Amino acid sequence: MARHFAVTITGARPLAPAAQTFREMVVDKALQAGESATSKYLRIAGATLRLDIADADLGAALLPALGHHVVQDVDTTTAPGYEARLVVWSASLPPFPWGSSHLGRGGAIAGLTHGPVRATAAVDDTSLMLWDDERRLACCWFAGVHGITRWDRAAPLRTALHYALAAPDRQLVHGAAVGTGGRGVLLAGPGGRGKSTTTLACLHAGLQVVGDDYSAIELSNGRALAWNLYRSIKVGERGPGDRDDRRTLILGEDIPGEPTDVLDLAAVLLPRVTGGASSALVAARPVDALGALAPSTLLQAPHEERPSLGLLADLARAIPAYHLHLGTDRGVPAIRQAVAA
Amino acid sequence: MLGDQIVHETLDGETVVINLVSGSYFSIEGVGAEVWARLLAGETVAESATAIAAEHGADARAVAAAIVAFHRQLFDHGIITAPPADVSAPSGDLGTFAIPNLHVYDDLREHLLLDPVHDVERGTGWPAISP
Repeated sequence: MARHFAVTITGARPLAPAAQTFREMVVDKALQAGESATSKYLRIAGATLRLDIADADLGAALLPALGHHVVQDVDTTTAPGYEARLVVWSASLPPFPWGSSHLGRGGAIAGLTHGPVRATAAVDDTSLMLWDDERRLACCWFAGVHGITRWDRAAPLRTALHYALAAPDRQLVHGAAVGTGGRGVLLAGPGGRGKSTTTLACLHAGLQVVGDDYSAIELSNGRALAWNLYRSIKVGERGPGDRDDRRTLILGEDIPGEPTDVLDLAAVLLPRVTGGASSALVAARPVDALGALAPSTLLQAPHEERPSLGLLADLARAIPAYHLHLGTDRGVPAIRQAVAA
Repeated sequence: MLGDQIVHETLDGETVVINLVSGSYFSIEGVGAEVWARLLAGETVAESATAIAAEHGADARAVAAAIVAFHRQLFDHGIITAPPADVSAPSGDLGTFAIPNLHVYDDLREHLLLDPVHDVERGTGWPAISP
């Protein structure tokens, strides 16, 4: 089915007011699906989330990269016992009351980009995520397992987690996090700068890996933390034209190793492949760190009517930044140096 | 004044601006960050030019022309929504005032604008754009 590159929501047509009622129907359907779903509790970035999966095939596709967060010791005797609930289901929905012209960045649906209810959808109507902030409920609908892209498998429910984990001191960030001894660095920058390659090299060198693409950062009590989201990691080389031909492997299943849940961040590193023998750190300005972190983080998040940098500027202020000139040593010695500094 | 999808922050006297519509981001250094701060504070070009000219021992009309040229860059990149008034090219004594410049980073804008879940071709993946 034809899909379109949605450049901006600015030109998107407003959603018809009657279509707003669709959102309540989606919430009702999600709650109904949740009643007969298999419930799991996930502990992610210090938050407990309830994950209700009403379609086993969807669960099989989404859980490999998230399953390591499942916990058994959640106290459900005190309501609600979790900070947000995610319902994943596939029972049929009426046709969406919007078209591709209503969709903007990240599939954000015009008219549902601010306020207590936010929603995103795939242009081909194969998936929908609706976040109800008052209920702390993410309604994650897929038309079926075919509605799950390879990117959903690598970073499952990312938009739902974007909302569910958002807090005054915590947000998702597009960046890799690696380290040693509980301290680490955040590798920031758009795709193609060497984040995943460096992360994989760190894994092979025995360093700790929080993630190769997305992490949750937390700033509290003068500390900057990077929390693990997924245990997926990309391997291989990009193809012609920077095309992403890499495979996604699951740590602990497809490749030895386990992700580290959290690292205390010592620095932001801005990698760039230079081709020398040895990698090198060169002091960078806070504004460089922000310029590396913010564009891809914000542009991969759903359109917001009133966007903000959130915690990214505070992070750039809080810890030093370095350009990481990546050599054939894949940056591992330089990362050890940055962590030890 | 600013576009509704513009985010910005000033760190250590340098400013980062991101246009979430175009996918471009920008940096403003040196005196440009001061001109930017005065713009956000709602000053007119004349007010900013007068203050900056006094600081830098410059001719206020020359400074005003430089500020307008800077505002024109901001407008051309969708950062501000109102075009500045046309004035003549900067001329006259600028003293220690350096003409502000907007550094533009748009080499990655197409990749940055791609959403890896919603906008890519399913079989190939990012950054192959879906037809």
